[in-house]
Amino acid sequence: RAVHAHDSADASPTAPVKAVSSDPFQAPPATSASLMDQPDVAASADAGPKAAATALPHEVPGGLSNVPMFVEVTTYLSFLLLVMLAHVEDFFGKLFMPQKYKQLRVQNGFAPMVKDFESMWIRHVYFRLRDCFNRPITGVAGGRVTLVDRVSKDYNKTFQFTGRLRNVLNLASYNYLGFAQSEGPCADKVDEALREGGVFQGSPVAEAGRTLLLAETEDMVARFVGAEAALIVSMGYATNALNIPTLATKGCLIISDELNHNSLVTGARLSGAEIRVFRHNNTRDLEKQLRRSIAQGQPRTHRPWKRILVVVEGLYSMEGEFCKLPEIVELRRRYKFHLFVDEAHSVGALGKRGRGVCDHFGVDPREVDILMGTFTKSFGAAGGYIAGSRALIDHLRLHSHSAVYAEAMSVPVLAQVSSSMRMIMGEDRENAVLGQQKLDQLAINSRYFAQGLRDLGFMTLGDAGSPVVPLLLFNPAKISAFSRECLRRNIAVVVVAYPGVPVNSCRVRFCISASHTVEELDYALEQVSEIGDLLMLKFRKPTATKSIAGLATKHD
Amino acid sequence: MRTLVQRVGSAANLNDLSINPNSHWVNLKGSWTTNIVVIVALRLMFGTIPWTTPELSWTLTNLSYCLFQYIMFHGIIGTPFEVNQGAYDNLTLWEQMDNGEQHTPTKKFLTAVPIAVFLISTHYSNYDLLTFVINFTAILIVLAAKLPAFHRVRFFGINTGQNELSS
Repeated sequence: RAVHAHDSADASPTAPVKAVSSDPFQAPPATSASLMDQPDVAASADAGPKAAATALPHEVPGGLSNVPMFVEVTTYLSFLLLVMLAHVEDFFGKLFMPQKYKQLRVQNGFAPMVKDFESMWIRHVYFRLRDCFNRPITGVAGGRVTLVDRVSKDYNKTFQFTGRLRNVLNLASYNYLGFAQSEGPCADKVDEALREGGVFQGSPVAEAGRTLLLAETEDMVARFVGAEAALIVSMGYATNALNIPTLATKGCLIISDELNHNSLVTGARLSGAEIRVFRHNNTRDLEKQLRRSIAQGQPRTHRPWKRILVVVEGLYSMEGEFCKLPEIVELRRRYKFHLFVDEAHSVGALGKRGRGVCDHFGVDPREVDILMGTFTKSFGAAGGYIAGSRALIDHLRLHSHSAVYAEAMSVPVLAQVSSSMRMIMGEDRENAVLGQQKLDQLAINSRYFAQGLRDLGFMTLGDAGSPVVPLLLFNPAKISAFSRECLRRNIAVVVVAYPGVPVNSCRVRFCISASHTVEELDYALEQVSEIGDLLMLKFRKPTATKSIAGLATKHD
Repeated sequence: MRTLVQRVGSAANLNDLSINPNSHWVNLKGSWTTNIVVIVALRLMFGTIPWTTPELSWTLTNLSYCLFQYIMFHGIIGTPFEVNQGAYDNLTLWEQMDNGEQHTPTKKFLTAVPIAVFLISTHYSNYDLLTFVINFTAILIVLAAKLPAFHRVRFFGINTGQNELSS
């Protein structure tokens, strides 16, 4: 099946000409000239909507440079209307129906749990959309998922189950390689490990929690990502929040991307280091920050920093964008900081061999000081790891809160990690082909779906090859409309609104999985196209006038 | 006993460069245009009321725009959803913008627009004294609240905001 690696209609006149490669994994090499001398062109390694750098103070988050002004203005007006209505409703409600607002006042001598203005968004906006979020499911959330149907008779304040179950296409779960299955070779190994090793370790790793399975899995993780050693933590969030304070202390500097995940922010705050932020994926801003910080030194004393740590993510899940790793590595060579890459979404999902963002860009993993990732998204397990040089990991084993106090990862989860990673690496003799198939299928599926959406005329974000495809909806009302229409057509999606994302870019985030078949993706494209016509979401000029369902059979 | 001039403390680390989603949208594309669209819409709306002269329409536009701006940027304190564990709870939207930095392009724009509307309204009212005084008072209050000297200062009801109506 011929799949284009990128969309040539998107190329701006100033972008360098990129060769279309037939190999879906090939990423063109980034230039290594000094970034300060280059004109301000966002040189992403893969084509995608380009971030416009203008002299105006207006910020244009990457990919949103071609939005019609009509859409922008109506989006702001919608939000303005929502807020005004919320204020009016609160005002008159408190006057005429005070018992509805009882919980926001002092009652029985108890202060209210939330202030009324602080909860305004939740009460007036979130409650209207509540049926689109947190839908209860039953069974495993794989390529398809079974939702428990529910209705609300009081505008989403309470829900009642209808008793029906609904099997829907799952474009909402992080299941990149399709390991979320309750049957199969991994599940068998988990069963075996459960019978042999029990359910939990019952002890921190530093005391008695370090078993043979854990040691082997840590070695395997280190080999997988290309580092010398690795440390496994039983919780993904805690991997960041508890290990960054060990890596950076007071007197250090942490420069983090402005859209970094909450766990990285928590870890940075806990560390006591000075935190600076650079504009998302903007290596020029990073360089400016670096130069400024190095020249100025620590805040009051102007002494040199003890350590400078630059924290980025491999794949930003809300934008579907990769970090600009080659450029950042080039900066690292010049300015000699330590680089921390959080590959929560990219490990297992990117690169020819699934090794993550280093594999995708062809960067030597030894150029990244600390490689962190989670097992939740691609491996169907839970928890996270940190990989780096042996000295670093030894230090973490002695000084990190997670290694000394936190309980070791539980046995079945560890067995799942071990068996799925072995399968992807090809070390599992019986299932070697299956592992590589999953990697290839994910690459093909994500490019196919993203390209299909763009051909239909939708505005999507993200770089080519990203398994997360955000589609822009803009107006807040379209969020609930899109989600409900999809549910009616048996598709489960995740919609994201302000304040999770900037005001003018509400989106629906499709998560593609290797377990999605082409027929399912075609069905999804067809249905999304219909919904797009209903809701006026096709802001680009479509290059395919009708849905491309059936394209697969034609080329096969 | 309440003093005449109150200085408000805030837990926000205003040197922290993280984005405040509640106030960051004013810097994004389209928000300035929407501002202009709102003014035009107001003027058209007042124009559709029968028997209003252009001078009355423009005066009403100026007054209502100043009122909107005041309520939105200086009248409401805090955030409608949780941001940074309540760091911005004591600040008006104006004070939250750009992390408390003064003289940013957006602040200059939002200061210039009421002035422009005021000038247009005085032009259309043919510099009649009464309308001038009314317009001028409105704009004076709005501009006073935007002064850097008034950052985190609660004075005489300016910047005090409209707190819980029940209390």
